[in-house]
Amino acid sequence: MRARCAEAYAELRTGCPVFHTEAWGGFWVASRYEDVYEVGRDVARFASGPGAMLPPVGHGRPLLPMDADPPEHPEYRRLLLPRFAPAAVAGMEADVRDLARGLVDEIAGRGEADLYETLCKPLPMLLITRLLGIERDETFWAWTDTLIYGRVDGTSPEEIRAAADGLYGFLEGQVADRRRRPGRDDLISLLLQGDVEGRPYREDEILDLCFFLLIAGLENTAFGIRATLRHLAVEPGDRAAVLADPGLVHNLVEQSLRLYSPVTGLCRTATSDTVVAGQSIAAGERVLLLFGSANRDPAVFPDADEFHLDRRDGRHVAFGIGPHRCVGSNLARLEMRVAVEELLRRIPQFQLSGADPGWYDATRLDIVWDPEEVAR
Amino acid sequence: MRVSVDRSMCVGHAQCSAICPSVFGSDESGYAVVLGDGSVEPGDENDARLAADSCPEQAITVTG
Repeated sequence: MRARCAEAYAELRTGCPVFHTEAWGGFWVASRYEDVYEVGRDVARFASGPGAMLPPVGHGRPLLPMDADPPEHPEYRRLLLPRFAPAAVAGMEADVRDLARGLVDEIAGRGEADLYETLCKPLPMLLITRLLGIERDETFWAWTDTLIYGRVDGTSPEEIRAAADGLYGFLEGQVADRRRRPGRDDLISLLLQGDVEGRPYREDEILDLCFFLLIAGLENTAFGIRATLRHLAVEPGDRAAVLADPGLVHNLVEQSLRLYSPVTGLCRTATSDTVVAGQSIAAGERVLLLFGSANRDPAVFPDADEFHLDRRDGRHVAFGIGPHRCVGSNLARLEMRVAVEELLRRIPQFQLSGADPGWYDATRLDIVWDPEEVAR
Repeated sequence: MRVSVDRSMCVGHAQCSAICPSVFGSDESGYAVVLGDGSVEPGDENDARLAADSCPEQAITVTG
């Protein structure tokens, strides 16, 4: 689907901007920017509590704060936002850069590498474990992989259940540890201080928040970094431009987010009978906000299917729109930018080692370069 | 030229402060604030306009 998404999205936007599909129990798809904007920002008419992911993760628990509505939703965000605000994230840049530099140092002398496994995937993993204050563990990552990819790759419900049980069990242990030794600075300790209108978070809320904080920034961020680095590999002109003018990295990241939107879409559920773009939608029906299509809507972005390194196009909705805007957007942007900067700093010239794997899958990104040209 | 932010619309995308940090900042939760009294120096006008255009929520108003 993503391989030919430009054509498919254009057909949807012009032919049937709010269309219905029977897939996954049936849902509507909003593909134009203006409709995604309208539905995403109206949390009274469109709820998130019934679940934003399609297909769902499959362990039967809400992904918090995403799958929440008022009064809980703004209360969860009130606790989390200061940790992911621009000032807080700026304070993480040195750490993120150290992690990225270490990963690039590992491969610099080799002359070839799969950037997905050596840089795109480990950078967000290393960072989130640091923020949560947990140790890395192979079993732990096998569980998260099963939950993230098992939704779509045919993993049995029993395996997904087992992975969820394993991961939640691990997180329960972490929460218990923070209760025994309070006062630490990590995100799990922060969750213990949360309240909803004066009521302390319940244990299940803490675990669900913990779980989603852990997985929300893994695959999505890895996908975003991969798509950006692949773009630099297949468009040497854009790579040369960023090398010549490092400030262009911001446009590079925003264009990459817009065109290669890591989160293709998320759902809302109508709270009452309503109408979107002339289409009646009944109470209880779901609407998928197709961010990837909204970001290619020529009504907002001229020549929308092209990568414009000379443009910002910051209005894109890669991180969503309205009160559910991705809490981690500032951190994700930082990771994408620093991954680019640290790769280009040591390995300014590189190319794909084989056929173009495309931007649309979270798969290998094999590149080659001349080890003699690696910068110190 | 003057700018203002509708705080009831801002959800903290932080595009404005990234694009035009001399005019826009963010509070401790990451919501946009206008630095100073909202008047924009002539040298900052292009960036301030780009910041307003880059707000996904369209929460920034430019006048003058």
